[in-house]
Amino acid sequence: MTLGALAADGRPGAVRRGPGIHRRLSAWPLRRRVSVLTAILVLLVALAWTLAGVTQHSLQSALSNQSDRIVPGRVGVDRLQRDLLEEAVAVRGMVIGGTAAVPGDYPRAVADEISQAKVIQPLLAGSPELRAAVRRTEQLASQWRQRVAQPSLALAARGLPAAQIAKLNLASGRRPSFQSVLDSLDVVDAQLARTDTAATRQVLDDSRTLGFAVFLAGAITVLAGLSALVLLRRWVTRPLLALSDGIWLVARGELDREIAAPGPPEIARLAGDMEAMRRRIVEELDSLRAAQEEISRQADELRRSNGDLEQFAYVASHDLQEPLRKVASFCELIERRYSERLDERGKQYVRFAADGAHRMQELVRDVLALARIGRLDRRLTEVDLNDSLRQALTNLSEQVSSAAAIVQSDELPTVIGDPALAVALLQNLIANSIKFRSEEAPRMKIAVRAEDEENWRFTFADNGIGIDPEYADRVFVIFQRLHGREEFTGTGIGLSLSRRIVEFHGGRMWLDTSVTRGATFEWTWPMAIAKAEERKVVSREAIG
Amino acid sequence: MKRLAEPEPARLELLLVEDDPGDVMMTQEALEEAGDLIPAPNLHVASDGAEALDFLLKRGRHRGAPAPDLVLLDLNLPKVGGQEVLARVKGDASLHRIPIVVLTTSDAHDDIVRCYEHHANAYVTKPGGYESFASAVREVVHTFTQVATPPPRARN
Repeated sequence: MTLGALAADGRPGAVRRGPGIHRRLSAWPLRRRVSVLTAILVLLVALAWTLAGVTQHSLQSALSNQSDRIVPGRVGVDRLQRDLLEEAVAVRGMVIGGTAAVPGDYPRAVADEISQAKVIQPLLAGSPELRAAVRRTEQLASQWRQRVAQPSLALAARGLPAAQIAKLNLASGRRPSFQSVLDSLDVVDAQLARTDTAATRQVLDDSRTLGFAVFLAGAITVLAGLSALVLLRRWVTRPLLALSDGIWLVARGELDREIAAPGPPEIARLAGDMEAMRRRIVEELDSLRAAQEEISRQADELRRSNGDLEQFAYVASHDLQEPLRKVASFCELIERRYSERLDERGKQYVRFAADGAHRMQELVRDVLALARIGRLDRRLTEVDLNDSLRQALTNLSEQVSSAAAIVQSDELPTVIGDPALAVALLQNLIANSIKFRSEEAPRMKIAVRAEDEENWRFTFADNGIGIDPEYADRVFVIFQRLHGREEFTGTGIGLSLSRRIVEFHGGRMWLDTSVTRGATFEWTWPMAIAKAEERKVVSREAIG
Repeated sequence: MKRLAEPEPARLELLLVEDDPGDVMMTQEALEEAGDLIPAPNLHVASDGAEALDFLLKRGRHRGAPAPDLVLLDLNLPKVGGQEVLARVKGDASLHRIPIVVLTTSDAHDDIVRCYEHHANAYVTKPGGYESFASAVREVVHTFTQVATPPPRARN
């Protein structure tokens, strides 16, 4: 993928020019690229600096050669020449005699000369030629001393006049002249001067080379740094930035945008992983969206079918009421207008018909009431259950006072609910207790405590005839009656209505079967606080 | 201007808009049994909304029909529905003063709200048995014609 992406949106020209090399290079991992680049740069810099070092060393040795050997050598030769001349002057002084004769000058000059020659020798160790020339000069000087100086001094000591000595010296022929000694020394000096010039040229050459080498090394170092910068930018920074841009776009919400980064395999792999993650997220999101759509579709369906059912129950009940009303009404009219024309059996038939119609009317009315609990347009508000209880007792005041019923209640909380339904719940329970009372006067007790952090738990206990635990669930089933119609009136809808009201508000209702005396109903109801806090949060958000 | 003498009290004119013959009969019975509570009225019956409008607007075979003192209107009617009859009457400047009491089996919230929005004068749900039905009818008629002062009759 990354190679394709590189070929597609990298530099197609480069790819066309050398696909093989380019592909091979682009397949190189970043680590190898950096290693190779570093190795090459280090090698180049090392070479440049080695060259500089070698040149510097050569310059150093040329300089030291000049200062340690050549210059002292030339000084030494000068001194040697001076010593030789002093020897000659001393011999001449002794030969001439008089004030010129200074006994002891000659031997001292000779000693100086010989020691000077010894000093020179090691300085010229590097050049056998020069050493040979110095040795030849020494030989010539030694010959001159043996054959000219010492014989002349001996003659002068015998008192021979100078002119005679000179004549003798000239007459002796093949005797080495002092001039030849000096000439030989001149040769040494000239040679040394040449060496000196060459050494100076060497120093100049070397320093020029050193300058060049330093410049070259510096340039290579700078170039190496620059190329490292450029290559790292191309290999690392640019692909990373491209990757980051891609990720940013996806993070901003363009989830369909593919993440790709041309670059070394490491970054390509990172991009590949990111891309895989993006696809996974897109897939998950799609399936989540599909699930959500499915759920919302089902919720719509459910809402619609609930609405349909409610509508059906409502319409059915309503349309059933109409003919029933007619049956009941005309039965009544027959009884009123024609009772004297009917015999006892006929009157009974009419009464049964009227009774059936009335009962059917009650049933239909109850179905209607049950269907209406779940009405979707109910507006929930804060309901003070103490008010609901008062209202229920007012509605039932006749029954309550005729049965001498007593209702005791805890201080009840304020909850979120439908006020009419809350009254209906309590009214149903109280009516139920009064209806199913024992011989004692009916007593009811309503208690409330927190079930958990979000729900109240209500307990409604009476002292009535109670309910066999066997029927704990049946009492809540619509139109289920546990007692004969002659015993107790009513359709048996009260408790199922109550349970439906509780469930509509998000609670549960059950019969507490552990109580043996009377009947005890329990139910839960969500606390209002949660709702109130929710509302507060919402309004804060609205303000913010 | 001719009749300067005390006029004879006019008969009560009632229009019952009802398609159910049983209810028509029960209404008649109820009024017959009214005794001293209500003076015997002229009960006109329209069996659908269109006929009710004809009667009120004195059209077709109801040309020359009297202006009713009270209309008892069912909602579930053939041809033209009760709500529309109500809306037309209350939207007509020559008719809108006539008191209209909706008398229906429906106790649907929407029906009640819409009727009062159309300025029905009262909304009564038909009770279940004859006795209670009859007393409801009598009370309504008594209240609107005897207890309350009706609007002056429109001139024919």
